[in-house]
Amino acid sequence: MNWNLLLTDNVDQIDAQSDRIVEGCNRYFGTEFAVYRPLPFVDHTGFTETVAEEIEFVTGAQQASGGAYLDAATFIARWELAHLAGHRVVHLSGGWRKFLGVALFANRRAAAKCFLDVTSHLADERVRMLLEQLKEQTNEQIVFCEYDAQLIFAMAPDRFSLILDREDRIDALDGFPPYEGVSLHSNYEHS
Amino acid sequence: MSTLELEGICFRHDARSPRILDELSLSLDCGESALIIGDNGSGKSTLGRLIAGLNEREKGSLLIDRRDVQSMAIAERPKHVVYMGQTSYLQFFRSSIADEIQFASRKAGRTAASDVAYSQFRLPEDRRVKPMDLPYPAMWRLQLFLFSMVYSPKVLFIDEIVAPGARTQTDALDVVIAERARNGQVTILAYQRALPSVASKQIRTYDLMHGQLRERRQA
Repeated sequence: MNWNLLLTDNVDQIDAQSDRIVEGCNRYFGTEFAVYRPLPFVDHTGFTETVAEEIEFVTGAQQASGGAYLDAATFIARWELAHLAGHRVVHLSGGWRKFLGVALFANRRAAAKCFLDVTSHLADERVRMLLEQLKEQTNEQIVFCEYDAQLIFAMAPDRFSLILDREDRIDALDGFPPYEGVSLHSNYEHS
Repeated sequence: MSTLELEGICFRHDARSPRILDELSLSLDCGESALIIGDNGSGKSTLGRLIAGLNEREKGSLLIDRRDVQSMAIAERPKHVVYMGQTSYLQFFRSSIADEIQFASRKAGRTAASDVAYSQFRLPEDRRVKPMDLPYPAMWRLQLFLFSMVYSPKVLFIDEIVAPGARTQTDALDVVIAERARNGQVTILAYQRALPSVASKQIRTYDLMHGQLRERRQA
């Protein structure tokens, strides 16, 4: 299990300097990261109409290149999306639309995955589901970089290695924050 | 009589879809704020758009200062109610922050908010910056500034709070909640989980489940 939480004392950098952050991760871990960027809600290919069709389309493309963990039917079952399968993607709520994009990205095989701002707009159950699914992907290096690092950290405090973005490089973080302006004190009451 | 009064509101996307809001009622008085907590797909955004007159209800009554929002002319609505959506970038129209503030001021028929108010939202000093070039949390604060301090409607629905783990964001919310309460305006926040930092401001907290609102008892 290789889950890392990348902390920064300036959350504004997560999208303003996302390329630098990803390059830092590539260098630090010595591998190329596949990146989830939350283009706000554009998590739909536009080639399909329903959730089931979208999943079939994306997982099919992933399988064709040998890079899918689950086929469409298993994906729908494992990610508990059956109740939405017949819905039009454009009719999904913002949070569900984002979750669909996150789940499809997570289904892609890669040596390493970087999730930038995955938790915003998602309810606790969606974040837990993502973490559950990622537990299966034991060979992958996973990095989360979040506006609210506390939120995801509080859900699996024993699983994360903490790393710190120092702008010119990424460093392992020894000791428990608060550290250099970064706090993991939770601002939330989880449901 | 409350500033915002919803009674028996029902909503569904079309005749074949299930009801998203089902006999929902809510009453907020002058100066009150509320936090609505709900799962993804529970109807938070639907409710916000409905209050702002962007969605048409199937049945029920919705009054702002005793007037049905649907009866208000579109141009008149921003004085009464504004829905601040989750996609901030879609609600910017101008190529600089200065232009954006001017545009909003003209649209709202108000003088631009003071520099003090602007700085309280920790927005860039250089107002030539393009709103679309701002980082996401700052973009959200700019939108919050424009909607609360420039449009300053009677009812403001804030759908999603961006990065409430960061002090810059909760500080901006504090300014909004306090200022609007002083002005006798109603503020509604919608989010996926409880935020003790917000709840401590003595705002009313509701769970949105099965299309209805249930108020949480204060501890």
